[in-house]
Amino acid sequence: MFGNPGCKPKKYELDIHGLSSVNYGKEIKEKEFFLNPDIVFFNHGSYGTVPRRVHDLQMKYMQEREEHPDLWFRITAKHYMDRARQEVADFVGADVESLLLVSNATTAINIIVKSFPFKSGDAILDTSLTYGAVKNLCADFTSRLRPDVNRIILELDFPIESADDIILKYEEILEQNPEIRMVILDHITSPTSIVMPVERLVDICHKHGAVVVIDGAHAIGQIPLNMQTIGADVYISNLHKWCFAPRGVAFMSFDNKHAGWIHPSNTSWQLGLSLDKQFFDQGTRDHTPYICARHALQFYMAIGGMDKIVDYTRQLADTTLEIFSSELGLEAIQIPELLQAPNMRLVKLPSFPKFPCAEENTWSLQQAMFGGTKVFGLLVFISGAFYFRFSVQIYNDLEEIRTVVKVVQDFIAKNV
Amino acid sequence: MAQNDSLRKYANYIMESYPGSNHRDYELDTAGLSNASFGKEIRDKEFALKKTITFINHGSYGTVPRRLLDIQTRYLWEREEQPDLWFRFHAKHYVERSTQAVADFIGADVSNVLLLSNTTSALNIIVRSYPFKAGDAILDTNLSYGAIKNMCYDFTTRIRPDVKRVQLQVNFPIDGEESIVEQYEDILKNNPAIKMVILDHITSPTSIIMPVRQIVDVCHKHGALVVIDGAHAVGQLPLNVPEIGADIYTSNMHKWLYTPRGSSFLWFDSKHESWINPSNTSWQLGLSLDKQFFDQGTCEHIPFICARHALEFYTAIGGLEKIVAYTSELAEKAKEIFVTELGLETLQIPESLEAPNMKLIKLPAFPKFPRSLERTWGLQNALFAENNIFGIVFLFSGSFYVRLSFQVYNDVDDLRTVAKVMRDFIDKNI
Repeated sequence: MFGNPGCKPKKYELDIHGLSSVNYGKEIKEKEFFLNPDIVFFNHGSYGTVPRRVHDLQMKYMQEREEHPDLWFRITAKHYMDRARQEVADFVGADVESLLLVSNATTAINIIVKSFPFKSGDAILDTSLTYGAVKNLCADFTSRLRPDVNRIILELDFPIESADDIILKYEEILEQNPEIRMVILDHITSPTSIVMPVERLVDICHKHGAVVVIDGAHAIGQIPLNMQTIGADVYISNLHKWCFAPRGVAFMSFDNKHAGWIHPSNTSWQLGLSLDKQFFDQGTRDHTPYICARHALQFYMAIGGMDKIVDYTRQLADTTLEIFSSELGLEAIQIPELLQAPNMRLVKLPSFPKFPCAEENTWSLQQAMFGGTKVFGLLVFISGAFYFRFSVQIYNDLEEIRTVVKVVQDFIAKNV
Repeated sequence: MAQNDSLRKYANYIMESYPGSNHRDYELDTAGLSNASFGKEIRDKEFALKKTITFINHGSYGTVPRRLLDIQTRYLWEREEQPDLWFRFHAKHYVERSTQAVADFIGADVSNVLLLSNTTSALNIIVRSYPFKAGDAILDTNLSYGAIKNMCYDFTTRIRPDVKRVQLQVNFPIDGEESIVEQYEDILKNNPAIKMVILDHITSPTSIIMPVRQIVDVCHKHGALVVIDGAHAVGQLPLNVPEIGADIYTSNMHKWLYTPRGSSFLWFDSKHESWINPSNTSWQLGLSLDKQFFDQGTCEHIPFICARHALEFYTAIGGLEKIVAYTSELAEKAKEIFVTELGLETLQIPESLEAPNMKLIKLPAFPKFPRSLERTWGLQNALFAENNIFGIVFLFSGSFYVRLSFQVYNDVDDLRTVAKVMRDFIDKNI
């Protein structure tokens, strides 16, 4: 340990004054976020957003870094990052030694798949509902990097009747394909926003000798998480989606028995040393998003924590669906209510003669429906139809929802 | 593969502009920069460095001027105003503008330049992407950057144990460029299996400028690809990357070009485009490299975006000529002070191979600090840290050296401060 006198890691804490009493909706949007007041943001799920107070702290760290760059990169940044790891570990019931912070879930999943010691003839399993970038990873991995490893895709068609339905399909496919060595499981699928019955699925996969890697990108901050109860081999989630962290920061929690085969994207100075050191030193880079994960969690707790937050968002999401149904006659995607993600829902759009139902028309439909309006809405193409996937956050309110509904209503009136 | 095809088409659309929104045009505020005096004035006005410390190690991590921090903040605000627009459209546009500025600066075509976090990442990507055949070999040297030595070791033992590693032992003292080039000729002749040569443009920490053009020719003559780790080069040496003739060239812009961390470029000869793959496979699989490298999941693009503004700063304060004229003068002064006055030696290399902004001073033997790797930190602490100086000590060829870096915020007083501390330490510890 070395350092110039008077240069020690500082103690930054988030200023939480007033956060426990600020009202959700317009008040918190204006006071605590940078979001453009003229726009209705109904797509939090894609990129999240960073509160002012967390941003201010990030600036302070950046300033500290410029005051003494050597000290930062050689000592202080790691210290701050370890504090963040501890907070995140506590938040999700994991052991800090088997929890790492990386830029995002895409990076974590690439690392895991590309590190795992697959043998020739092994197979990796994903589904028709897996996140697009991860589908690409599975395709790329099994065709370019390890053509001796097979890829198996579980088709999960709509309508999805129940959790049991899903479990059965997994049982079947694992039974029929004993060579499946790794199962990539979405905790909340994207964009279809289904909460998968992961605990039961983990048991089944383990019963069949497969390692389970859960892509829980949307999970932390939206649904309760406990690494011990879930029991996955690797669990990954983005803190910049529903936990207000700067971009990008995700955590990767793993069962200690797997520490031996996990390797980061870059081999660097810390080769052979503990994983936390290897993952910290991936060349000179910006660690401040990881460091601020701790303050993001402070913000999350100070404004009410999961109970208060999801109470609000779930209710608003339910209300939105009710309005779409009763006033516009539009139905939600056909999944059981119990499997609906609290903050993200999908509403099926009618057919538009000018926009035939095909994947390649999604973008032009989105532009036509929302372009030039006050709303940024995300449209997706699922199972032969267009859906509007919306996200509700604590800065949304009923008035905004009515604005969104009107935009959709006007468009339908002109185009059906 | 029909589903993948339509996913790819969608990925194309997300990069186009959304009606009703425009990119902004940020320019660095350069007022007053062209007549800022180097030394204390520019240090106080333009940099955030802690006032109580003498910094003589710019080479490790660089430092970001205040004006760059300001512009970085403005991009951060814009991102938070409308995250969807940022990630789906604007960020890519800004990265492209920056890539163009960097390409122009290094005399390259923008289609051969990619921006990413740092040279460690770039080199890992290249080595792990390259389609080595069983029995091929990769060549590094005893002077290669430590992390890269580790990478070569890890790659040839864990990832591709069927690929060999050959390491050139560069002899000291170095007589001249020819002797280095000859050593390369020899080792390539004796090891025809060498398929990729990793070459440092300026070695670290030994700070030697390697005769890269000649080495590139020799390597190509023997059928080997040349990958240049130019981490320290851009901003310190005049650089026309295509003219060097290497196959791949990477350099860190956050070292001598004042960009926020981490920000570097990866240049590749067009003929190699097809085998290069980024660390992460993501949405842009199968599309152009610039799209693939941009979309590595939700990540931090602002340091890359600010490279353009860093070049504005660099040019505004005088550009390479003015900057290196100043740092070279300081380097000369350092020689006077440490060699003539203190009687210490510099690293034994020809002057023409010395990096302009960095100098190595050899320390005498200290009984309390035996010359071993484990004692390096202890010596550095005792010598510098406790004296409000940040400098690094490292072990090379059986001796301890101090590597001094010279930047526009340093001046002769800094050198004298360091010299005094060193003299006192030597007097007490010999």
